[in-house]
Amino acid sequence: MTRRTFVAAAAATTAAAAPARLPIQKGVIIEMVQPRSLSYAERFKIARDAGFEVVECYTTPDERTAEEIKKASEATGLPITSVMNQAHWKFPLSSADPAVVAESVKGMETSLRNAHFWGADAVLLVPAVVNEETRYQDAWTRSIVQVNKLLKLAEQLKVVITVENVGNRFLLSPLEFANYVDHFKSPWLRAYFDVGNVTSIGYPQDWIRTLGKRIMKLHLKALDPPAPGQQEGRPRRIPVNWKEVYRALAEIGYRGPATVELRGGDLEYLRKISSRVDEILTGVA
Amino acid sequence: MTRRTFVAAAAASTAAAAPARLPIQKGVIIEMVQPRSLSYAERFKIARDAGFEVVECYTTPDERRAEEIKKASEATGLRITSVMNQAHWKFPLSSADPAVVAESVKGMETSLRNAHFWGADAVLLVPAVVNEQTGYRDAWTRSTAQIKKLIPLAQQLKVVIAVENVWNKFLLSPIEFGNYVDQFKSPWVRAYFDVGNVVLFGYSQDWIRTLGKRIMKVHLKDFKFAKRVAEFTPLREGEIDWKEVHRALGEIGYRGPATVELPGGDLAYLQEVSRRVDLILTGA
Repeated sequence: MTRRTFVAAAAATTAAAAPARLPIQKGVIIEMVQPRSLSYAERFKIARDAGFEVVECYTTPDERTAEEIKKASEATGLPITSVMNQAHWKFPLSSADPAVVAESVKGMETSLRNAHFWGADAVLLVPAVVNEETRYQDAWTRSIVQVNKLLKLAEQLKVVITVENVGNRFLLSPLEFANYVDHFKSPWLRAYFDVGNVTSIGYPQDWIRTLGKRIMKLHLKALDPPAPGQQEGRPRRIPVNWKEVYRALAEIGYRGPATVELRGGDLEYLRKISSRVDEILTGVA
Repeated sequence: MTRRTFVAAAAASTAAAAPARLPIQKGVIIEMVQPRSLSYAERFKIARDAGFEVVECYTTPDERRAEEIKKASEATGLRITSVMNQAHWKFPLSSADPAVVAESVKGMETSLRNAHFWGADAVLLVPAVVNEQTGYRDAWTRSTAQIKKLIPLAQQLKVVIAVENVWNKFLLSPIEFGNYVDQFKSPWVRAYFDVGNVVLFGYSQDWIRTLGKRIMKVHLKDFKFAKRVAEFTPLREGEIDWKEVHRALGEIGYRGPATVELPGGDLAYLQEVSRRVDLILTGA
């Protein structure tokens, strides 16, 4: 290699490296594949044809449904990356009522077993819900007690409990979210970061940098790039600055999946979403 | 007093205690008294006539204006309870730019001196602003460092730096707000709690109970949500559960002022605002 070709090659690498595709798999929640009348086999095929590489599934206590989902995943070669726990809103782990907590724990146990059965390595958990009855401090204390108990099963099944930031009025600061995760001192408890859920209170790129390696899974929503001139004024749902999110994900070396969480639709609709995710993951806009 | 009359008296006081008027003074930001053409002497009179007991004033570097405000306060007997610092939004203490921080510190020093001159015991401070340039952790670290430097002046002047929860994307959890105040381990840093600002993502009563004795001053406002956007409403017409706020303030034994932070207006408007504060403070 002469000096000239070396310089040219270096320039080419630099140019190519700037808008590099992040090593992140595109995921879709399988229930987003519609119409509802479709079998799981058909849904997985559509998800694959739309360009998605992994799938997130809801918890199911029904063994036949679980079996059908497993077969659909195997037939299409689309791995199930995570299970979205279902009980936590109606039955929060942070409730003062032991019967509600028991229901919540039961739901999480089913989720962990579903994940194990499907070969998924994580369960999405909303750890607590702050409301008129449950104070922030109580949400913190009670959820930690219950999650600690669940970690034994998680470890046994080799499935990580990933707590998500959602509209639950809890874990509203990136520092606090990190402290919450660190509190467990367990590899079986990590973060499921939702990029769209923090825009009214903060900046997703700031959260991503602060949470760093704690992030195991990602949810994407509000995929549209900010419209020209669209500014944040009063607190409200603010568009995501996707270029900054791209930069932050690259910085922390994130290699998990990015799963869209949007309204459902058909193949054509899902293809559009999938190609928009490609843009996001290549830092286009 | 016989046993019977004692029991009757006790019962009466219990009955009266249920919807008790909290020992809280009603305050108004003096700039809310309008029109703007009024002198401070006139504004203070209107504030008093509207039923307010204390006043909050903006920082002013202008000595003549500071003097005018002081005289108006003395003439009407309306005490100035706090100074609302002005520089912190345009020049945040959390900026990465030392020149911006210097401007911010200068503004706070003026506020602390204003407070001392007026006999106010606190300055409202927005400690940091999280934005595209300043991350949450930087906001915490930088603002803490600057406030620590301001504490000696606060102590010397005997004026408390009262940190407020505002829409600055910072201190979004009541636990974290408590920790932020506690880290200074100083009686010269406390909390200025805005009842309205937390309704976007939390419950005012929860914050009051969590912050407890850290709260030195209170701001009152109210919001409702239209299409997920918060809009100012008159007091008691928005999302805030004022009965719960009353209960929580009673529980923590709060005895500072409650200052309204609302659109301004004339005497009749301010009288109505004042009446609504009375309803809030009596748990109506």
